[in-house]
Amino acid sequence: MARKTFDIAGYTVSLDLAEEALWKKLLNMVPFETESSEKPVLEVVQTTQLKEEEPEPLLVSDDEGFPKITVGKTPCGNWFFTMASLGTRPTSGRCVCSEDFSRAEFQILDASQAGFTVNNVMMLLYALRTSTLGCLEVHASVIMKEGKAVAFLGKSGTGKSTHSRLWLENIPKTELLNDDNPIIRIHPDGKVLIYGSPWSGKTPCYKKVSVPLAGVVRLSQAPFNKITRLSGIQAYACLFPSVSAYRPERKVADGIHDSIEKVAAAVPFFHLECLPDAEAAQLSFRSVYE
Amino acid sequence: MKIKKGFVLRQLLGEHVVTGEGLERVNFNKIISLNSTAAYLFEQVKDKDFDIRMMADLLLEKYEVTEETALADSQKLADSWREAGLLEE
Repeated sequence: MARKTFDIAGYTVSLDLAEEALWKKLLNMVPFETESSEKPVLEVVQTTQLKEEEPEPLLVSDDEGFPKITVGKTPCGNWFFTMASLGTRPTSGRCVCSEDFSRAEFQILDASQAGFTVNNVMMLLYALRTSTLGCLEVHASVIMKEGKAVAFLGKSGTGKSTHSRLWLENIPKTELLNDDNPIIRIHPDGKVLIYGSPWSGKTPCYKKVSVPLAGVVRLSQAPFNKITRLSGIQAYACLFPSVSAYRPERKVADGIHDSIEKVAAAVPFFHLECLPDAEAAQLSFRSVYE
Repeated sequence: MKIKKGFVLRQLLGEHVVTGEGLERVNFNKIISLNSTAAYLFEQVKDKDFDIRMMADLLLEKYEVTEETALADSQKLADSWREAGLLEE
């Protein structure tokens, strides 16, 4: 079967691959497969030839250690994305997407990077499409305990995964939900849930699980352990840089703004200056759970 | 002076903030908090070429302050905006 549908944070998305063998490289998507007949909010199709030419990019995002992504608009008003797993590598794939991010075609240019390309296309389009549907795709490591979860944020290399590991080693009955790209979703009744996703960075942890978000902790390295509660604008500013988005598109920026504001008002936020030790994990655990 | 392109004034939890959202501002990872007077001035002068005199006149139109205070406050606000990276000359 070439076309499969997935349930990611409660939204149905479909992916149609021209090369059936490619599914073997996408085992991270398997736990999210669904038989749901609901119309997908996002439909992605692999093609061998895109119908439109690559336009001049509006934006080139090329941060060291991160995938390089370019964003452009075609003369017909569609989005055009290209991606490479690193700025130093050739373009591995490109994608044309409808103005509202609901339908897209992509082409793989480098077969050795096929898995990366499909995952990156899906991750990018999912973040953009659901930004107006109450979702936030966040760069975070997430630990579950007692049926709720805490998200650790921080710049790359700060020690999010390390802090999660310290929870797993030092605090009983804890479990990793996702190590890189969970999704926070604000439901119409105001409940804020966090969901596992098919994208988890270097740690294979692909769980189709959702739990209430009990707290958000931004980490920064320090020669001591100290935790500070953040509120209002501080909480908003804490989450803002960790959300995947394309803010020059006003609808996306508005959707993200609305969602971050709601999360900031509903969930306790903290800043943890910390060492990579057990005491740091105990401190963030007590702050969120007691 | 001018407010650089790509800055958006928003309401956030009952307060006024400016965030960098335009194409030119994708790496601007800051949120600038404005009081209601600064937010009023931001709304009035965005997309325009403006100077301290213009800001002061806008303040005098809306608030009961002396010209001296209006000029001094406008200068202070413009300085803080410049420091935050909001302005181009």
